Amino acid sequence: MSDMSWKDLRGLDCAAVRDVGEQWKHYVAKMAEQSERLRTDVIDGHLSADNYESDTADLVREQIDLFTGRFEDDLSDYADIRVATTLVDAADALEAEQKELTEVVGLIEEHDFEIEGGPREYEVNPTGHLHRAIWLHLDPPQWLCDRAGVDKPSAWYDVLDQAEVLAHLTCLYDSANELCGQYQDWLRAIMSRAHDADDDAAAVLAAMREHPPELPPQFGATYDDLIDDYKDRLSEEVASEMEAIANGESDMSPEQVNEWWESLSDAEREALIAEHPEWVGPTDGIPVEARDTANREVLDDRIGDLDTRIASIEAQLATLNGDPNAAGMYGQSGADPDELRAELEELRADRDGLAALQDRITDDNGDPAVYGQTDQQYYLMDFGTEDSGQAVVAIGNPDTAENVNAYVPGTTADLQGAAGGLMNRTETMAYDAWRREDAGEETATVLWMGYDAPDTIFPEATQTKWAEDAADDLESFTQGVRATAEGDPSNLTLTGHSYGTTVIGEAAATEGVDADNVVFVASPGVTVSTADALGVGDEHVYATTNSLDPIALTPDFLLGENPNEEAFGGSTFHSDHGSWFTNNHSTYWDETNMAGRNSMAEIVTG
Amino acid sequence: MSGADVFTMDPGEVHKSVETLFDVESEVEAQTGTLAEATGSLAQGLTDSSAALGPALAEAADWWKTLRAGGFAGLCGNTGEYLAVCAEEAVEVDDYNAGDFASYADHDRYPGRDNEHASARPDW
Amino acid sequence: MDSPTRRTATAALAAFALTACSAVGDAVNQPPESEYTQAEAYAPMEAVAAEAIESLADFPGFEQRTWGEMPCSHNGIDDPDYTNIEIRYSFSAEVSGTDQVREAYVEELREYWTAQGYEITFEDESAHNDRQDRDLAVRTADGITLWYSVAGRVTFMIQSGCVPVSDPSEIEYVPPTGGLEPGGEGDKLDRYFPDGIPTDQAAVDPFANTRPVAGPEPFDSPGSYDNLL
Repeated sequence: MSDMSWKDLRGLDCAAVRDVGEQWKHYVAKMAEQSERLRTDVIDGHLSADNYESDTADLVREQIDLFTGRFEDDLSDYADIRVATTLVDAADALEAEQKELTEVVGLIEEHDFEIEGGPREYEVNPTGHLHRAIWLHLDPPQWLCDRAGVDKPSAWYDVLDQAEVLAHLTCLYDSANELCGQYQDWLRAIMSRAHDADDDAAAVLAAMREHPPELPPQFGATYDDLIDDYKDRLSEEVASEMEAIANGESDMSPEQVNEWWESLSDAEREALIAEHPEWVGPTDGIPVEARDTANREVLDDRIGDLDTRIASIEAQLATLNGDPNAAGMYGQSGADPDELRAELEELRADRDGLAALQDRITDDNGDPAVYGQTDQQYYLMDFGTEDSGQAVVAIGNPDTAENVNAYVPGTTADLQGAAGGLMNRTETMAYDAWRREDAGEETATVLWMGYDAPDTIFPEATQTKWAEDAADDLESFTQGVRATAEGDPSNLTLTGHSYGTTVIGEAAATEGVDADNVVFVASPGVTVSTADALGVGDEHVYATTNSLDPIALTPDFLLGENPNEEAFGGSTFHSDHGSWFTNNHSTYWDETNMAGRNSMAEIVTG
Repeated sequence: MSGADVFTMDPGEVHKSVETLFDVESEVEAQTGTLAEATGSLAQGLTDSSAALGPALAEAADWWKTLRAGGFAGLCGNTGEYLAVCAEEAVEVDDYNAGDFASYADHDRYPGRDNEHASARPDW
Repeated sequence: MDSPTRRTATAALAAFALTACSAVGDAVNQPPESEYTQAEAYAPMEAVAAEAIESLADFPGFEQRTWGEMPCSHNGIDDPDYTNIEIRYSFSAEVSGTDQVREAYVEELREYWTAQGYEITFEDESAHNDRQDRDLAVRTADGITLWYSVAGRVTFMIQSGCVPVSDPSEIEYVPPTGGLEPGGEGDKLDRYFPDGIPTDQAAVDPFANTRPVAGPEPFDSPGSYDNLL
């Protein structure tokens, strides 16, 4: 586990990390030349059938082909994708945090604050010197006087201004503490992302050594016994790797997954989609077209499976209902009817949710449906029925679009919503982007309901645990969008609504999100007190809340600072409220908020 | 050259194959060694900075050098030696089973190799 | 430092504010008790759209029409029993680049809608790279919103506000305005009529069940949705 202190991070030689990563890439190229020598100069050259023809010659040629193939795979899978890419990516990630660290530490020192505590719980507090300047000498620094709106005493005998300072001591103290809090959040976010990048990189390298495929056996007494087993395992190897990736055992980043996917042959990719769609479908880093194909297959199977289970329970209940002694107690089958009914209800809810989702994204011919307004296909990037259900659906292909907007919904988001109201809202966003984009541009709009959303406003939506659980997946999603993009990277925006903003804030501050913009709509708080802590640049942080939205009453201590506050440091844009008599928390994409809809589309389309 | 299944064998060409296998073996070992050294140095620096990447990188580099690149290099050498024996002796390779080869390899290696008079494959 | 008890109480208060869980709050936080359902709303909406388009000179014709929806909320949470219809007309990319639809129509609609006594609820003009974007929206006396928007595409939207969701089988086809062929390539209502545009309904007159929008009680709707919100 990463235990870097802020000083360790500041002193880290990221260029050296990148340089060694590049050395590994160079090494891979040089080694590939060696394997090519074996293929060209030996198998097809000196040791070709023209020069050596016999059963043994065939055996030797096959052996060289086998271990050369293994080495080539190793070079790609381990030396390149795992080691080299990990080092280069870690260097980039750590260097970005290092740059921010330098900035915030400079500000901390400039303001006479100090950093205390350990690497994962840093605190930023006023130094003793600053305390004395305020409390003892009644001579706070100019920046603090400006911030608190107090005149700075011009000299030790400036009694009037000193009296003003005395009268505003609490205000000065609070103002200093507020800034300390912001720098503390910023510093903690930097260190959290740096630790995350460090741990992720270490995990990939550790996982690499866990279950590597075996090398071909050497010629020798046991060769004949071993070679057939080796060939058998070879044929299953790609599937095993895909399984390890899908289960998270490989710990590879979406970019590494994408490199691995691209290293496969067309036949291997097609076989994986056909034989193991359940692994291909949900994996970030695999191109969206392939995921969509795989997920639709799995969705179909899952609905069929649920139908079977529902029919089975209905049959059991019918049997039990025929037995007057079975009601409310264990019947002949040993099943409790109440438990069966509860299970049946859950299964039906899952089945109905998935069927509704399938209906929404499929046309009458069973092909992927197209959103008529923008002529963009729906892509199913992920789905699930765990807890409230998950669905990640794109309108338009994020891999090819110039702009990608991912909408993260909030409390009560579930599968039925994903097939209904939430998708309606996503379509409205897609439509708004389409209205505003320049000719030749395309915006893919994604409903990212890839997390278990709170079911209730109180108490669930007042807790950060749902956002914490979602953070890693949202980070992975953004990295996946980057990894599979064809051509230039898209302009990627994350748009959160309500608790969805908390999800984005938590992910950005703790794991890091690879996004260009974040938009907070009707936010109850984004877990940090400053836009700087989000890692996307405060100029790319936007927030809006209409004046009648009760969400503005959410206290900061619950989910963090309201990003609409000026002190937060992001940009805000106006949203009109709807009727005075309605709850205006969910009216941001309604007919009453044209200004807000235009502003959001403007951000999304760059 | 005689032999039940040997239809064609150009000893000179087979020797060139052997030389190439040995050369690849030594190239891979040399370049991997250099890379592992540079990586180890970086890994130590990262470890000193309390980065989790440091120890993981050191172990990964060692694993790569010893087991993966090292394994490949070993296979190059092993196959080169096997071929060398065939070419040197012009044996009937199909009658020359693995066990025979193992016992033979205990007594002689390809001329010019470090272990030309000793078995480098004690498990044979 | 707040005590845990105080924090919990404040959290509950905040949640209370969001959900407005009082007797009064519950009454006002529901979508409007419209006497019109989703199925009933399309015809009058299309009618008021057709009237606006008829007022425009040398109309070049729309490229497409879709019927979109947005969720309605109850206590701040989406309510699947209500929906907010948005009928969306758009010009082609080529027509969207002409001064006629980008400038002249904005003024013509302003004049026409003002003459109808509609309330202008939104107007805006902004520069976007090399283009000038404009928005003009009005609300009719009965609560329908008409939004003419000039951006990369020039679009015309008609919005219902919240209405109770109808069963899809209850929704009747209403022919488009603005020169679109009913059921043609640009009339993109597949989702609502998956079996194709019902031929026996293709000739439904959007005005058949309505009276003029400017009339005292247009299409027998509540006087205003606002009063019910």
